[in-house]
Order: sequence, then C-alpha cells, then structure tokens
Amino acid sequence: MCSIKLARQWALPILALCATVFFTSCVSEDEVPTPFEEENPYVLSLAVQGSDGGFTYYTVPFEDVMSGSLSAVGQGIEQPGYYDFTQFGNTIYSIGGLDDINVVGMTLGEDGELTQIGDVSFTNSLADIVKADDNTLLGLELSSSSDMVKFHTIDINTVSVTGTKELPVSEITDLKSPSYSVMRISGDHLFLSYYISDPTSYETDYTDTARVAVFSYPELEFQKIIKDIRTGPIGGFNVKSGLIKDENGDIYALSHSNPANGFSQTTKDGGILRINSGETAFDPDYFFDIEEVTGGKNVAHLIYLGNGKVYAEINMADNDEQERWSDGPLKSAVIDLYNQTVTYIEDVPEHAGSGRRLAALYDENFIYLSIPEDNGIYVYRIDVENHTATRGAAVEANFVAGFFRLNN
Amino acid sequence: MWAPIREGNNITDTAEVERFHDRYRSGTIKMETGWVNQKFADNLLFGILASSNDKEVQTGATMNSVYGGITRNSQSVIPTLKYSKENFFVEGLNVSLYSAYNSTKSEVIDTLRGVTYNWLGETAYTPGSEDGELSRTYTTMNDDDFNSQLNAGYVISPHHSFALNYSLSYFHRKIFDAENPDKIENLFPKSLNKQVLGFAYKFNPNKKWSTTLFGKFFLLKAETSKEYDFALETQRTEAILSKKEDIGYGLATSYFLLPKLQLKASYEHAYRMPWATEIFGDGLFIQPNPDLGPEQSDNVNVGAAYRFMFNTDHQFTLESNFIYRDSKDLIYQVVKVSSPETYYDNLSETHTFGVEGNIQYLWRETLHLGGNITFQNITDQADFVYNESYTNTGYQRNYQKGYRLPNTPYFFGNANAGLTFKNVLTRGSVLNMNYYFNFVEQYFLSWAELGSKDSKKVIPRQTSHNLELSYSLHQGKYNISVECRNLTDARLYDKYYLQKPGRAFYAKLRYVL
Repeated sequence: MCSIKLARQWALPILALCATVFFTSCVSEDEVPTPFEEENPYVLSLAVQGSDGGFTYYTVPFEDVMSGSLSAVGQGIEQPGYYDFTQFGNTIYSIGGLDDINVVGMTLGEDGELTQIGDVSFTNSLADIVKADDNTLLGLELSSSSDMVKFHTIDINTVSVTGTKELPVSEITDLKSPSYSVMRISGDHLFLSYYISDPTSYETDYTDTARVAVFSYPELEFQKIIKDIRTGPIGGFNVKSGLIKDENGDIYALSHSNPANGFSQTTKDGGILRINSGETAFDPDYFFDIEEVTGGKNVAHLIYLGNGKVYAEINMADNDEQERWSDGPLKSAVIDLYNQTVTYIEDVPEHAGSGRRLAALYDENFIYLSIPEDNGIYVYRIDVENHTATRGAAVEANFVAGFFRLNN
Repeated sequence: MWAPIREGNNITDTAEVERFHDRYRSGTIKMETGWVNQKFADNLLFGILASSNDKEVQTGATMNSVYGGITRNSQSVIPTLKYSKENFFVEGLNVSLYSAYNSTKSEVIDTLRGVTYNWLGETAYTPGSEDGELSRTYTTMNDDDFNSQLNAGYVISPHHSFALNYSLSYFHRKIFDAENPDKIENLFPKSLNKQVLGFAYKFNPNKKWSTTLFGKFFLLKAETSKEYDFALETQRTEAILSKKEDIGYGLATSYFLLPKLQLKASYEHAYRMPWATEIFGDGLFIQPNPDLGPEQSDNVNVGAAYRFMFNTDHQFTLESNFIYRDSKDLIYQVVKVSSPETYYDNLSETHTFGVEGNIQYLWRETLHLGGNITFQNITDQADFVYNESYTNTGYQRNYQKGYRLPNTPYFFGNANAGLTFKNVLTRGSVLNMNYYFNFVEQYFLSWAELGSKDSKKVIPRQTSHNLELSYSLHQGKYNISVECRNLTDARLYDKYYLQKPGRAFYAKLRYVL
C-alpha cells in the first residue's frame, strides 16, 4: 500500500530527473572522424558562415581531394573571425583581418596531426606576410585607420616577432589613403605596391599611374616611389597578387584597376610591367598589354608556375559592366609572361571570385582550387601544361580560404 | 585573472594577473514620499533617485583586448511616481500605476594617443601615432528614458476575473563625439517607442482547475540611421523609421490531479521587442544595429509541481518543466572572438528544447535545502545563410543547421543550503547563514560540431561557492551582512569568455528610517 503510494509520489520527479540525465548524456556522444596516415596531406582552410553572419575557419587535412566530400565536421583547427591563409615551407600562416590582429602558424606535428605554433598579435591586422629568407618572414601593417606603416620581421619557425620598423604613412604619400596591394623582396630591395582609396567613400581618384614604393632590404629604409604612366595602379583590393617574381629575380607588376577588384574608375588599360633584377625602376622596354590580348578583359589573380608561366584568373566582364567589388565572373587561364600569350582553360566553368587572395595550390604540375557552381563548391585539378581540368570532391563550406599541401 | 601577456607583438606568456584598470565607483541617493492608506489611494508615492557611476574599462568583449586608459561615467536623475488603489470606484477593481523618467548623461573616453597596454599594465608607446586604444573617442550621450506601466484587475466573481495592462516606454538619445564631431551617424535622431497593451481573462471553475487566456498588442517605433551601399558610389547614410505591430496570445492552464500534485501547461505566441542598447549600442563595445527587429516565438511549456510534508516538520517541493520553443529572429548577441566589439542580431530560425528540475526541502523554519538543474539545447534551424559581401551575394546553404548555438550555456544548475535562527542575542533579531553552489558545464565559444574538439575555444566547466552571513536587529531596522563570493577562487567566466573577478568579500550595512 505504502510503497504504491510512495512510487506514485516519486514517479514524476524521478522521470524528470531521468530525462535530464538522458538528454545531457546523449549530446556528449560525438563522432570523431577516423584519423588517417598520410605523409603529404592536402590541407584546406574551409570558411563556414553562421546564421549570425560571422565566419569561422577550419583548417583541415585531407588524404584525397578528388573524390567524395570535404567537411570540417569534428576535425580541423578552428579560427572564428576573418582570416587570410598563406603557406611558406611546411607551415600555413593564418593572418587575421578585419578585427582580428593575430597571426598563428599551423604545421604537421611529429604525430602527423595538424598543430598550431606561435601566436603573435599586432595593433592593426597585418596586410600581408611574405617570405624574406629561409628563417624570416616579413609582415606589414598598413591600414587607413592608422597613420603609421609598420614592418615586422617574424621568425619563420617559432612565429614570433624579432623586430619592428615603423615610419609615418606620410613619408610615402600625402594622398589619402594608400591601400596595400602586394609586396615582394628581390635582392636587397623590397617592392611595395599600393593604390589610393578614400578611407570613407572608397573612391579611387588616382588611377592613371602605376606606383611602387621601394625600400632597402633588410634595413627597410624607404628609398623612393617608382612610377609608370603606361598603365594604372598595381594590384587591387585584397587579392594580394599584383607583384610576382620569376626565377631570374625579375618582378612583374600587374595593373587591372577594374571595378570588380575595388576601383571606382579606370583611366588606363590593364597590363603588366617589369622591374628587372637588381634595378629599382620599371623596364621601359617591357609592357604586356593584357587588354589587347584578351580583348579588353582584365586579370585579377596570379600564381607563378615557373619559366615565365603564370596561372591567372581573368575577369570575363568588360570594366564598364562589372559590379563593383564582385571579383567575377572569372575564367581560368595560363599566361606566358615572356611570349605575352593567354590560354584559357575551357574545362573550368566561369565562376565567381571571393574578393580575396586566390586559394589555390600549385603541386606537381597541377593547380588545385575550388570553384563555386550552382549546386555547391567543387575542387578542380587543372593540368597547366595541357590546359585541361578535372572536377573532384565537393566542399562542404561556404568558400575555401586556403588550399595547401604539407610534407611530414 | 588568467590572461595572455603581450610583449611587443609576441604573446610571451599566459599568467595570473591582477586587473589594474578596474575601479568602479557608484553612488545612489533615493528618496520617496507620499500618502499611504488614504481614501484616494492605497499608495501614492513620489520618489527621486539620483545616481552617479564612474568606471575604468579593463577589457572589451573578450580577454584578448586590454585597456589602461578607457573610462566611462554616467549621471542619472530618475523621478518616479507610484500609485495603487484597491476597489477603485467599484468593488473588485484594482488599479496600479508606476512611472519613471530617467535622464542620463554618460561619457565614453578613449583619448590616449599611440598607447597600448598589456595585461601586466605595461605600456608601449608609438610616437607620432594619433590612434586611440580602441578607437579614439570622447563621446557624450544624453539619454531620456520614460517608462510607465498601468495595471488594472477586475474580479467579477470567484470564477471570473479580468486584467488589463498597458506599458509605454520611450527612449531618446543625443550623441556627440568631440574627437569626431562630424561622425555622420551621430547627426541623426535616435529614438525608440515601445507600447504593449495586454488583456487577460482568468477562469477558475473550481478549486482544482484554473485557466488564463491572454492577448497582447505590441507596437514598436524605432528612429535611427542606416548606412546603405557600403563602398559603392551610392554609399550614403539615411534616417530610417521602422514600425512594427504584432499580436501575441496564449493560454495557460493548471490542474490539481491530486491534492498535492499540480499539472501545468501553457502555450504562447510571444514577441520580444529589442531594448534601446541592442539597437543603438552603448557607444563603446556594443555596436548599433538599425536592422534589429522583434523576436517572435511559439512556446509550449508542460510541467508538474508536487508538494508534500512528512509530519509537520519536513516540507518538500518537487517541480519539473519541459520547454519547447520555436523562435524566429531570435535576438542574439554576436561575439567575435578576436574583436572587443559585439552587436545584437536576429537569428532567423532556432529551436529550443529544455527540461528543468527543482527540489526544495524545508525543516521547520530553520533549515532549507534546494537545488535546480537545467538542460537547454538551442539549435540553429535555418536552411540558408545570407551572404552580404559583394562576392557571391545571396542565400547559401547553412552548413551548421541543427548545431547548438555558440557561446550559450546548455547545462547548468545550482544548489543552496541555509540556516535561520531567530532571537539570537536579543529579541527581534534574525541570523541567517546561506551557502550557494553554482555549476555551468563547459560550452563552446563557436558552433558546436565543426573543427576538432581540442582546437575549439571552450568556456570551461565552472563551479563556484558563495557564503553569506547576515544579521538583522529590531525587526529588520538595522542590517549587517558579510558575503564571500567565489570561495575557492575558481576561474569563472561570463558568457563571452570574459573572466569574472576571483574571490571577493563584500560587507553591507543597511539602516531603514
């Protein structure tokens, strides 16, 4: 009698307690993808947008990028915020942008797992990092919200800052404001290209001259601005590919001043200039008139392949039809800087760009990158010698921010 | 505090540090006068409250940013009016009114130039730099805030009663930044007008069963400014006026299945209007969001309460509730790990499933023990996310559908134990000893399922113990209390990975005139 009554009294509270325990225990059981033994994994930095509008980046190793689907569920190094990724040697560096001001390295640990090394932070986001020598990276702070330009030398192995050199932006230009496009080191000089963009309206009122700032290296003393009026400003908004260096140490400077890459006006045809190795002036005898070869189209992204060949993404809309900042529609191509030719890769569909550094890997004569299509994003492997391409894995992310391969 | 230490640009260490720019001073004077138990009013009270706050700002929304010069202060004057009367003109009609007008002037000051601090309180100076610590500003905000709440209840018979309530809130801000006098968004008026009219009918057919049916009419009018076409030739800031009208309704019912076992169920189609700070920001770390709209939800609650006694000394209460909520445009604070700034936004579609349990035990009037445990799983249910950048603009697949929301505790509980002794030392005195335990299970700072568990930022599991001792004399005329919060000096966080202060002691003295 008493026990039935008691049972009835306790039934409900106990039921509620059991339910609580059940719900909490079933949520902690997570599936972890099986780790794989791969000496040379591909590593993709996958950007996923949340319903709150923010992005989170997951840098994830994959054995195979040519089949199945690539997802960050349960794997990869997580970084919420805005990140740009670049690889030097066996380390991937994430450069925080917008509000993020940190740089961290990611490399394969002894156990073959992707691990984080170093953590440095700056007053403003770094505009970029380039490799200076085998032990040194060079980082740049150049932002319209600060009146100082700062160079930071970074130890490549520990990802720690070893030196900082700063100067007022006004020493380089009085125009408001210089916006970074790209930098390269060749011999004992650093070449820094920029364009002038109003910090509030983003209007670009100075588009009739190519300008590159020259600094001594490694002293990082400002020397001069070199100019050329055959084409407009070098590089564009956030694509970080206006300057490339070939095996001879010659630097090629790309101008595209097109709306899709951040320009409010275009006053000169796009083209490529050259700074010969050891010199600090544009070569008056070299000009690759891109628009003449492409019929008025402009190149937005470049990745150097070798022997004067460059993988390029070409905007297929004429400048006056482009939507500002759209970085598209793009078509894949191979450019020969020496013979001044452009060859399109027809197997890759015309695609949207992402308005940032091109996330592509050049590995064993193939360019790997992700192409957004109507029903999702897919990896494409491009044979840059034969100008063919194959579609690979589907990518479960909103875009790909980095495409790398690491060696163990 | 456990914080990253920066030297130059390197994060050289993580160390236990003292908060060094954390002084907070606050003063309040309150006076109230009027009539009590008169023919025309049970209560008619006029009050005035004046307060002044002055705060040094140590961090932004996360521990990644540390400041040594930013301060904020405010001064408020708040006149209040309270009125209540039972049997107002008619038997059974009860009326109450509460009104307050709050005039606050506040300042946000970030005027150091080229100086950055680390967690050790050390400064780095960049000569020639005009940059502030966060963003150079000397902002003055003049806020006028009027709130009024009118309630009327009418009991027709023991079986039927009605209630009517109306609330009005009006907020207006004038803002000026002496460091950026031309800041365009500060030139536009900012105001928020919220009104809610509610009506309820309660039906008590018998002692066992009670049901309430209610409806609410919401009106929101927000006046602010918005930037359009960012970074395009047509970029401009314009005044916007948004008006929303919504109707909420619901039904709540309870039934005594056994004399001591009450079952409860309710359904509500509810709206939650945004607060002024959520739309207009706080002038420092909370950024304004002129697009922020009301949150709407369908809520179902089912619960039971069971109260029983063993002889007359042992009294037990057991309660359990299940909650299901389908929310649209959930008002949600977005925290970016790297940024000291946050803002509020609407999440298009979320589901909440929760269960809570509560247990209380009372032995005579001397000992009480209690505990409460909550599990709530709030998941994102949107199929698409909207990409607002100029590349690939439009709706894209939401790869985090079904995942638990970031930065939101999902499993937590508390327990307490207390002893009360009366007439200790003198007559009319009360001695209270209370112990509180709090528990929050660890949770992720970002969406739950992507990324390897060891690389994800977590707010670790938190447990804390608080002790409180209070003694009152003369039927509560004189009060003294001492409190120790966070007895074990555990590392505690608030929702945004910001550490709370360590062990702290408080003493309070109160004298009632």
